[in-house]
Amino acid sequence: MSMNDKDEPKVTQPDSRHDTDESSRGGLDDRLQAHIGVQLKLMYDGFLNDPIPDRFVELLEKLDEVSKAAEPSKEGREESGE
Amino acid sequence: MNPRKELLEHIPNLRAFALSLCGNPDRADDLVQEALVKAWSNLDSFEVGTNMRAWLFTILRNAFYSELRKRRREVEDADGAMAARLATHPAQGGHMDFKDFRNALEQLPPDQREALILIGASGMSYDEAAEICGCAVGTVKSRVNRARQRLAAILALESIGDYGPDATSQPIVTSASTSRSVA
Repeated sequence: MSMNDKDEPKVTQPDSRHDTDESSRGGLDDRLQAHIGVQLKLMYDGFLNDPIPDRFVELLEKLDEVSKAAEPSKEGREESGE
Repeated sequence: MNPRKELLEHIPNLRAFALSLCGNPDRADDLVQEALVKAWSNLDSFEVGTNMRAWLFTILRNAFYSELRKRRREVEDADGAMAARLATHPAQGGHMDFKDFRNALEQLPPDQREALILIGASGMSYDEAAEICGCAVGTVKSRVNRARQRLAAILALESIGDYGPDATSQPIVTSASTSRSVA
């Protein structure tokens, strides 16, 4: 699917030319990554706490009715016609 | 359990996944609806006792990608418009940070965004995420890493744009441009 998976990211391996700012860079990266983790959770949990829209409750009720009408017997599900 | 009740219980998670993935609330709910209908008509193929949430996530992300392919063939959506609509979603809670973060997330390639959401927000394990995405665990890991690097780079650059470079942010910009050239 994705063709660029082969090039593994060369993370946090600063070559010797950059070793002067290695320590400060590590700290800032950590802070940014912590920020990203928190924001990601906040976003997702915010969505998660949304009430379920009525359209989905109604949709499932409708689907339920349709399948009940299609198979009057309680258990038997052999003939899955319409 | 009654399948209707069980599906109902997973809707908040499905919506959170869809909203995080595609950004646009209307599109997200269309994806949830499509996933629910598909799940319902394929309930027979779901093995009772296995992970229904992962199964539903798989159905939803497949719907997301096929819609994405269709849209690419049709019109190019303005990313800015999508992000703007998204920013008005009530779940955001009015954080400035949130809008920046959402904008940055939108800029990731879908496969990286997906991996990051699954691992970093939805609480899926690497094994579950790999199953959902239909790829190897190592691929999920590298997508998550790249997503985090790229997000850090985007967020660092945006904060400079807002407030101007200063002693604190300057090193972030420097490291951000380094990792961007790698990605």
